Amino acid sequence: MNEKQIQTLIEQLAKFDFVHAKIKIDEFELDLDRDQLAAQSQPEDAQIQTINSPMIGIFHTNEHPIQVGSVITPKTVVGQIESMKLFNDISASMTGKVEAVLCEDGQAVDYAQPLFRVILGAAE
Amino acid sequence: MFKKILIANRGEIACRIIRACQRLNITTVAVYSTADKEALFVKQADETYCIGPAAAKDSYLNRETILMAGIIANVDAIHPGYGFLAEDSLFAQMCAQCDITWLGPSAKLISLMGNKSAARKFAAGRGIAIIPGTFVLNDVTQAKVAANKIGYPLLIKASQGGGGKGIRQADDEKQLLSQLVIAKQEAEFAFDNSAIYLEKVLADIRHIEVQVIGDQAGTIQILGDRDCTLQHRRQKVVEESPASFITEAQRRELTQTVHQLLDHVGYQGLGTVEFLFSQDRFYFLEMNTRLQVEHGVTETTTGLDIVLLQLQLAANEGKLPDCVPMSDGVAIECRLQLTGTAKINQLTSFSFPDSMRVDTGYQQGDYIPPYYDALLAKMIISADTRTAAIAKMSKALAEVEIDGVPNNLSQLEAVVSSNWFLSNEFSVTTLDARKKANESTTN
Repeated sequence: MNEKQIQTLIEQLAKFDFVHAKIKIDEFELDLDRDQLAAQSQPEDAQIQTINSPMIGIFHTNEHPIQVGSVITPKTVVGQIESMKLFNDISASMTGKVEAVLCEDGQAVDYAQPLFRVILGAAE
Repeated sequence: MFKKILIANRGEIACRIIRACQRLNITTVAVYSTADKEALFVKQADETYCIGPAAAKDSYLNRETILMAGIIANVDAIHPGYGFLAEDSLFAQMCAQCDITWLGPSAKLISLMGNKSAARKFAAGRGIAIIPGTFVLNDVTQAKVAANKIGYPLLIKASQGGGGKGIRQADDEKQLLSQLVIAKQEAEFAFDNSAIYLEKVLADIRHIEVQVIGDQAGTIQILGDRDCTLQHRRQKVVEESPASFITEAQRRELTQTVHQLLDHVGYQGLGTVEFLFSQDRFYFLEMNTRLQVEHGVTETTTGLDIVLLQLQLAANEGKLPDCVPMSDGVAIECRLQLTGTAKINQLTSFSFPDSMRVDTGYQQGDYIPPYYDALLAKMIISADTRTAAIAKMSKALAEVEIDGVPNNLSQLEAVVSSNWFLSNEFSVTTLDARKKANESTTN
């Protein structure tokens, strides 16, 4: 296969909705991976959102801290913010799976500072 | 000296306080709302904390949130600037409870002077002339009787108001009765307190104020006087230092009156005593227990950095001037204000000539958040005489470049180049009357 034929083949393949393709024509072998498509379609509606601090204060984790992989629902208490000696529960306000923990126990956080990164809808 | 100070304010006054702190090697902490994330004062501060959303009640007026930032940052003191929590006695108390020095007078004095009717009673009790009127009114009958005695026209004022806010005028009894109801409702809504009182409308009023500062022992010194007569709807537009039309004898009278008001009351920090001057007499109007917007004109003529002096005195390291500082020439300040909102409100051009001292919280390219006050910049000029200062201001204003936001620059230019301003013959209502009559502000 010459360069022009390969080019034509790739153009034709682009019309199909695939993530991985393996083509073998005689001696010629072509492996194609389309990561971008894969990432888009992986878990359905995998939107990423953050749970932000509702106020400035000191972040405290739960007795059993929320970790990467923890499944949360809107009412899940993901931690507490201590402000002027008052402890305020932080509700998740979303359903999903925790992808990253962005703050540590005892850390000072600003208003609206991201505390957890969540893959939405991953719980179902 | 303090090591770290939190500035519980925003914009130009936060920048101004940061500047004084830097001169004293004090670490500065800015607190800001999400709307001020890119603001100049946030960039200038050593440490910054986002304390809440754009709405002031959830950020700059939220006492707990600001104190929490102070505790996290481990600050020694809080400077409230002006506006927001600057005259909030509860906040002053809370700072003390958190072992943070409040840069201002005691909560007790803030409360006393914040209650305008109580302040009138206090001043009268010290033998100072107050504007003819009443203290807090109990009912309509009392208001009618008092109004007939004082005479119309008169003003209905909210006791927790001040600064030209919460005021309604009544020209006769019919208006008094209808306005009383509205005034009480407005006061309740705006100040959480429906207490109101009456004051006579004086003729040809000039607004004169005296800058004071008290050390930790409560000894006060006067730092000069200002003429803030030029107002638009009871808000100051152009300010001067000193008040150039009063005589030296009248100035001595003012000095004596202010001492009569504040000696031995334990006043600490900066403050301004405001008077109305009518028919050759001074009447106590109110006292602001904080740093004032127009303090820059006093600094320009006295050569003092009064914020720096305030910090030094609060740290028990400074010394009060031995006498009232001499005024060197005349300083004039024009307030450059936002007069409306454009679609985008971005300062596409924003520059000033070197001849001006400019206090601003903005830079070219900044977006003006719509949530706060309308002040864009304070432009200050000084010269040997008032006439020379006016000429210099007029020339400098022509060199100011501002674009992208609706503003009052052309109005300021018209005022400064007018004959009535030059001749120093105007009252607090002159600008309003001219605008109302649709006359040009010139001539």
